[in-house]
Amino acid sequence: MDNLDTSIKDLSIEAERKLARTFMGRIEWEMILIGLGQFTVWLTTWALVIQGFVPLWLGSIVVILSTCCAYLPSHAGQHGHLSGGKKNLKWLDSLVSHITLIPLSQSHDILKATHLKHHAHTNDPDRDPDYFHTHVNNWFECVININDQYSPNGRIIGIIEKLSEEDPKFEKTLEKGSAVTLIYYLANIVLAIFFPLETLLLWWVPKRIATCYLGIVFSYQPHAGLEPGRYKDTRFWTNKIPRFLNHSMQIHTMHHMYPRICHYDEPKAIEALKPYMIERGMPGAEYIPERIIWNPLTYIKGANRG
Amino acid sequence: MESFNKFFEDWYLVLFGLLFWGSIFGACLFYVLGTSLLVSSIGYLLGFLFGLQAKRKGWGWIT
Repeated sequence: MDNLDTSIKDLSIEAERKLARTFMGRIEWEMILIGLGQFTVWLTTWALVIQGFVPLWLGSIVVILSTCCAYLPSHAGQHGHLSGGKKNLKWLDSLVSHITLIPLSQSHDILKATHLKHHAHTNDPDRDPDYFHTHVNNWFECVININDQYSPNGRIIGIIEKLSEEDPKFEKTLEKGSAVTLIYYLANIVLAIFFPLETLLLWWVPKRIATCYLGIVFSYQPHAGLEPGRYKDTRFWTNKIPRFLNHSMQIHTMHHMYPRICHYDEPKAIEALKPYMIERGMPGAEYIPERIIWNPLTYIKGANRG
Repeated sequence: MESFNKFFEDWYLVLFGLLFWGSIFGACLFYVLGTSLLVSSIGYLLGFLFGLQAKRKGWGWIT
């Protein structure tokens, strides 16, 4: 408890929530820019490659990098960060999320429904849709499982069936999202017939590589080996590369604690809430610095200990 | 409609293998063997076999 900010006397849940609320409710315009920006890069690269202005191998590298940025804006939309929780702007959450997910060929509705279940049942082997790619022994098992999760015999299918039985609204949402998935299925086929190698290297390969990256950085690293529980289901972690190249997933703990705080406001919120995090025994909280700058967690020894 | 859904559910991997991967395998073979109807057919045959294998093994990642 040496690290506790002694200026904070009240470490109750109520005080924690009151402080957290001060970081909620803004429109996360950064994510709108990133989402629409990466889709523009994807579309422009397609056009430039087909017109012969850019070689296919170079276009593929560009699109792999941009597709790795496709999920986070959708994630912000899933949590209502793009509308800032304002009812008259709800369409923004859905619209930007749908657009940004095109390079990943994913449905906003399916991802939102399964992601919210992940929040409700984090690390529960029977109900967390992410469980089978987070609770594995290494990165390799994670990428195998996340790419194969929707296979006919994929392990997530059992969880989805159980969640659908328990929650008819969840089932309805998945049905709605399936129509979008079918459109992607057909679009991939039609494009492959007319532009086979372009479709392979500008859509299928980037999608698969980005899925591996997302599985490791967004799911496995923050959750691997942890148990259910509000203050113990996500960890602070670190590696040797700047946190912005990891989409700041080192501080994913903050998101699980208060999902309504925008991604780009999490560093400030962590600084303020650090005493509460240490008090609650959150994994790795004792290693976070007083000020969170662009790459704060790289140098913290011990932050990777499970 | 229901029987179509059931058919699609059972065979979507084979269909994807035939059309998506068949087109890609065909395009790769064009580079090696040149353009011809036979080469294109071989590409689609390989795609079909790949799709069948995916269905047998449950490889959803091919889509």
